[in-house]
Amino acid sequence: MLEVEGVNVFYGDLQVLWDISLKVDKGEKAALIGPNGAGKTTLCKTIIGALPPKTGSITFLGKRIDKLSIPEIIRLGIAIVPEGRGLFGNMTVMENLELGAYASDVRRKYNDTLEWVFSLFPLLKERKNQLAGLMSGGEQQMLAIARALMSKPKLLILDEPSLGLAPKIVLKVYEVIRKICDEGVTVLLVEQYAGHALENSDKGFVLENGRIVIEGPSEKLLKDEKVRKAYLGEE
Amino acid sequence: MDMKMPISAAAITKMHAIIMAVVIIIAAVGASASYYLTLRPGAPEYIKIGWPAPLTGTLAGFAETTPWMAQQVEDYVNNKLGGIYLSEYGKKIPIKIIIRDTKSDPDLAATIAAELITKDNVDIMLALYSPAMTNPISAQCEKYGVPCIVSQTILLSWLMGAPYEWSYAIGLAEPDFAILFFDLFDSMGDKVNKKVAMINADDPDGRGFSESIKIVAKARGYTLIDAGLVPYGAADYSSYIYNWKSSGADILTGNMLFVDFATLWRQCNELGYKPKIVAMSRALLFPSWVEAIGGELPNGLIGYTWWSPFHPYKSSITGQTASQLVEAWEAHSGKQWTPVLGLTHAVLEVAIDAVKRAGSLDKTKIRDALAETNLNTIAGPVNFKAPLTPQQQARYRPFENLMKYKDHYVVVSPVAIQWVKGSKWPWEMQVIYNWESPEIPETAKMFLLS
Amino acid sequence: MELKSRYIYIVILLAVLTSLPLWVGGFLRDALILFFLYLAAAEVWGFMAKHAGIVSLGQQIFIGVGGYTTAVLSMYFGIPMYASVIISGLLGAGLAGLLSFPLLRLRGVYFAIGTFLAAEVIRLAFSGWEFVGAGKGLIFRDAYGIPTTIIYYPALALAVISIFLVYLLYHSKLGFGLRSIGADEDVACGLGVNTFVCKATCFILASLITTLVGAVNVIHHTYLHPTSAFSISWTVNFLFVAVIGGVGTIVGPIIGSALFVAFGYLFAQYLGLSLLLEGLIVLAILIALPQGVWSAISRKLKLNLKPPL
Ligand SMILES: Nc1ncnc2c1ncn2[C@@H]1O[C@H](COP(=O)(O)OP(=O)(O)O)[C@@H](O)[C@H]1O
Ligand SMILES: [Mg+2]
Repeated sequence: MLEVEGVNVFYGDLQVLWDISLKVDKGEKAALIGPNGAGKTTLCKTIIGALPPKTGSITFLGKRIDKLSIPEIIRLGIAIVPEGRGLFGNMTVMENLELGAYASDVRRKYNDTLEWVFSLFPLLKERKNQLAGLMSGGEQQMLAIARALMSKPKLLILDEPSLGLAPKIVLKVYEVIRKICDEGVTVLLVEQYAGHALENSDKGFVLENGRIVIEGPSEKLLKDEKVRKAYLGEE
Repeated sequence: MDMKMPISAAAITKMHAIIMAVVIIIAAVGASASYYLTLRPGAPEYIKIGWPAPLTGTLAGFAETTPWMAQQVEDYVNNKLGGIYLSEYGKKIPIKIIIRDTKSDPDLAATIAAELITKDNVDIMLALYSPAMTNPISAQCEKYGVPCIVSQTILLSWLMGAPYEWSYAIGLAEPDFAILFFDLFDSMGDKVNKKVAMINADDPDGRGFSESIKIVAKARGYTLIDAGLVPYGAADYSSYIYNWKSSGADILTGNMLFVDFATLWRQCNELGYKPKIVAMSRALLFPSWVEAIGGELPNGLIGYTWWSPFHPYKSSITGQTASQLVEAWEAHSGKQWTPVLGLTHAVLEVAIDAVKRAGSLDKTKIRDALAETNLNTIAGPVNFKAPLTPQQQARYRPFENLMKYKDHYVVVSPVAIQWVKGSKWPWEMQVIYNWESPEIPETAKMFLLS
Repeated sequence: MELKSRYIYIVILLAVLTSLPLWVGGFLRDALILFFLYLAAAEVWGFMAKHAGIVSLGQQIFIGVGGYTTAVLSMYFGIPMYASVIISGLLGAGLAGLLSFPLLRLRGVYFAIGTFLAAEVIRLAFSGWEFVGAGKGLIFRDAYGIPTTIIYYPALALAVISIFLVYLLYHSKLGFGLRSIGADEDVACGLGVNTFVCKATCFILASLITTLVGAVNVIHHTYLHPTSAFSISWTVNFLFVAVIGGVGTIVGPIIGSALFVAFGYLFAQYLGLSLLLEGLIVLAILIALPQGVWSAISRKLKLNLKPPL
């Protein structure tokens, strides 16, 4: 479904991603893990079209997308839950959700999508007129995910969805992510800590200093000594 | 989008109440204001003279004397004369001079002029101090039909708005200055060569001066070494100065901001360029500007003035002579007089004279009286019907507006002055060349700088 | 039913406003014209600044362009004055479109500085342009004959149009995108909001209104001078009007403009101090009511108005 091949990305003269290649198949849950500053967010931005890669190609559903604009990519079916959620605190829940559908051509099917999203997040329906900024951290993360779903994506990228959340809330977030997968959405999970991400995914990639250093099935990675040491906090 | 958020019933009734309140307030204010404004019973309380002036901002220097002058004349007329006799009412009516600050902003000047007309109902307006102030104010007077006396402005710039119906000007004519300077140079005979170094600011004044000088220099056989139009705030004039020096120009002239001229003249001194005559337009008008050049450098610099305490005129209101007016100002303010003082007084004389002769506050009658003005003021005779002198005619012929609208202006003739060390103030001007005004005494003999 | 009666009040209000020049005195008419013109420009300025995050310090560009275009077209090209006004509006909008390319790439304070510098460049160009009178200014003689009873109407129309424009913009998809840009441009971009197109459209619409304000102003004031036509004080005044009343609200600038015009007249008699007094009052209002007068009133009365009212 998503194929990244030999991608090199720069901020000005500074190279941040080196020769990245990865593949995510339809219906899969993939995890991308790596320490702070490895380039995970940069890779997300590159896929969504916010940063053009200098070389390499990105293909989605058999179509080259690395020269397309963000709205075009969103319309093809990729959505992102940005790092730090990126909610509009002064807008209501409803308005945030509407913004999720801003670029997509599903506006005609807007009400169906909204119903679908509310069925996944019943709480948001109750709170739809509340200001997003007044909700708790966990609720905000749910809203951020719900907003991304409003464009009816085929591939959902989540950039550090557990960031800054209490362990109990993180479990809830992952429960939702599993539900979304069950709805047939392909998921690319980006995390600093490997635990939940690898437990909830089919395959994983480890990104360090802008390069993919390890990749393989998640079960295998979970047993990998290096991964356990660096990303599961084990001695 | 779901935009039908519930609004509380209370909010709606409050909204209604507020809208109703607004409607009622607007209606009430409108009605009472128009009633109040149309209510003018019997004889008027005052003769109102509107005076929008740049009390603050870049032109503030020009209006420095305005509030004092207005107060002085108002006190004299109301207390000593008991007001102005208006035949229509058969009694004397006091004057009220209403000054408003335009903050040197032309757009605000228009707003304020309109306010003075529509709110204060002024009977006559004064518009002074540079085209940026006179033009918007007299434009409003034309629009509303209010007599307006314009002064202390450049006539060609003001006449862009001609034909005027309500405005009359006592102004300065650009073509005069170049001729005045060259007549002065000519009077030196062989004592100076016929090479003139020239430099002008890159602005309308500088451009205008440069054009006139070029024409006159050519006609009279002078060679110009022209540095061209120079932007404000230049730091280094050495290349021009070397050029002038090597060509041996005895005369330096131009039209610049005083700060820029100060820099130029200091550099001339440092680089050893010693012209015999330095005759500058604009930069040497005010004593404070001259003083700012610093040291002994101002000594002998030549400029022009349109008024001085040596002008042999006196006020038609107070009887003060020019030198008495200067004394009064200096005693009051502790500041040295400037050429602005004279016209600032003269416009009040013309205004009061017009109202007195109109004998009425009917604006058309005042305007008609203004057109017939024939008054000797502290700044010289003012008679809009008087013809141009033959010399003026010759000078102004190329300027269509000056020829066409003669009935709406009088020209104040400039005289050449030289700055010398003073007894009361650091630098004082002496009249060295009275040009076309033989009645003005030449108070000193001109000296060459080297 | 409730909504309907609200429209009735608006109709009554408009009827009163349109009939005002027939029965109020000359001075009040003058004051109302200024009130409407400042209101029109401040509404769109406030919307741009508050909701779209576009803080322009260069709206004087459009005041000047509107004024000069209207005067030059009707005086030198013989185009009827109303047509000149409309053409000047289109020209101002076009200029805003052109300026968008270099300027809207800049964000926040850099955009503000960029717009100010653009205005200065244009001011200098006009100061040296003999055709439009350069530093001597331009007297718009042809407008002498247009009485304030007539000028009142385009001024009123501009204020009404500006208010409706802000209302519609706020509730449009474009306005929605703008509000997300105002809140966080990067996130908005990531959600697929075409930030450049949204911002440029908003800037063009606001500048169109501002240009028309400049055009009507010159018919009223009949005189143009580069230093005041392109003076930053225009934008500072729009900012004052918007901020005193409550920036980003529709009612705020109405109150702000009324206060602004009233202060101008009230303090004019304190010679040389008027600027200081006005500044002090505005400062006092802003310290006491940082959200502006209207926000304070609506909170006090618990009006619970939905934005952008
Ligand atoms: N806008 C930017 N300009 C320049 N360098 C950046 C920018 N954003 C991130 N970087 C650098 O790129 C590298 C990768 O950052 P990022 O992709 O945010 O890492 P991660 O998401 O894995 O923590 C870091 O070294 C960071 O400093
Ligand atoms: Mg990151």
